[in-house]
Amino acid sequence: MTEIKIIKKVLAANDAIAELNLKFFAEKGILTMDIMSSPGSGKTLILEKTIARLKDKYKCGVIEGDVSTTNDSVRLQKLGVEVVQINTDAFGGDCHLEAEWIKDAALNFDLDNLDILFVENVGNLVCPAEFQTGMDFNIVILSTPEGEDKPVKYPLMFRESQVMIINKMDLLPYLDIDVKLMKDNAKKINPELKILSLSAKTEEGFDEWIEWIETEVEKKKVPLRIKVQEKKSD
Amino acid sequence: MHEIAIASNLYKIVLEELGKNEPITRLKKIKLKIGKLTAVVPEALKFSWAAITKDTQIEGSELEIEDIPILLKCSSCGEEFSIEYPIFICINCNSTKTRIITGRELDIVSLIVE
Repeated sequence: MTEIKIIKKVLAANDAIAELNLKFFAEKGILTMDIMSSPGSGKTLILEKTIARLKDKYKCGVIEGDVSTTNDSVRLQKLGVEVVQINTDAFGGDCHLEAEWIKDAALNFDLDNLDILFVENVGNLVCPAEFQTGMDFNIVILSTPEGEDKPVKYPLMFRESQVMIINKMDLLPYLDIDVKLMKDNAKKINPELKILSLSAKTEEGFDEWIEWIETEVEKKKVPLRIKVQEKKSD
Repeated sequence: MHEIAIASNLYKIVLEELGKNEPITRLKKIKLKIGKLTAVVPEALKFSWAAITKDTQIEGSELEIEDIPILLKCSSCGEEFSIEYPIFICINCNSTKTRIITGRELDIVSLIVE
């Protein structure tokens, strides 16, 4: 019997493509976000309202991941933005998106004119956390009815995210939910996590979210402007 | 059930490595290190591995999984400590600035072959 030593990350291939995605979109000056949550927490409605507010100012694109159906794509296409659907049932009904699928899907957009790319991941708090897609920000949405303990139950998702959106704040009068405890639980796992509370339905708290996106879009464009200036001065 | 996707990534790596080391009559075991902070259920991964390798040249090979605890290092006071629950706060000085030392592994370590 022989032991062949390897020492290799099992997901090295995915990680490498995620790294390429990150560089690729950075060169194009596109702000990219991977939106993740459990099913029914409001990803699509948040995207609809977000895009409606941003689309006159910025060109937005969406990669829509679902196990099956194109329901969410149809909703978003009504806003007049480009949507590319990935149905994972063609990949064995997978519960997450992988970096390579994002890379391929991105080629469908007019990338030189795109400002923001949203990836709506498959509704799931477990699997997408393990597969990096190479976006600038991992954004986890948790809605108030889901309970305070979800960050503790799915720690990897909250550790791997940079922004957490607490959605369905309008339901608080009907729920026995302690939002402070929900936030504290998330902060115990990821003290650096930026937390925003809002309601996609009433758009309460939406201004702060939109302002944050606008700040980040502008940050992405700074290196491109410097490049253009360098070219001019050459 | 992303363990299927992980198993299929593993399958590709294993075949590639075996190809470099001929001649091998039989792959017996694959040693893996899986950190407690990964979202992987070892039993589901073993089940997925059996399903993916069925009717292939490496059917019957086993996964030997070593669980790796979550070990943190405090960036403020330097304390190293392991955690059972997902609370990333220093047990010595209460600092929230901690670094993960172990616990995120999803690594293939070696192949045992005959």
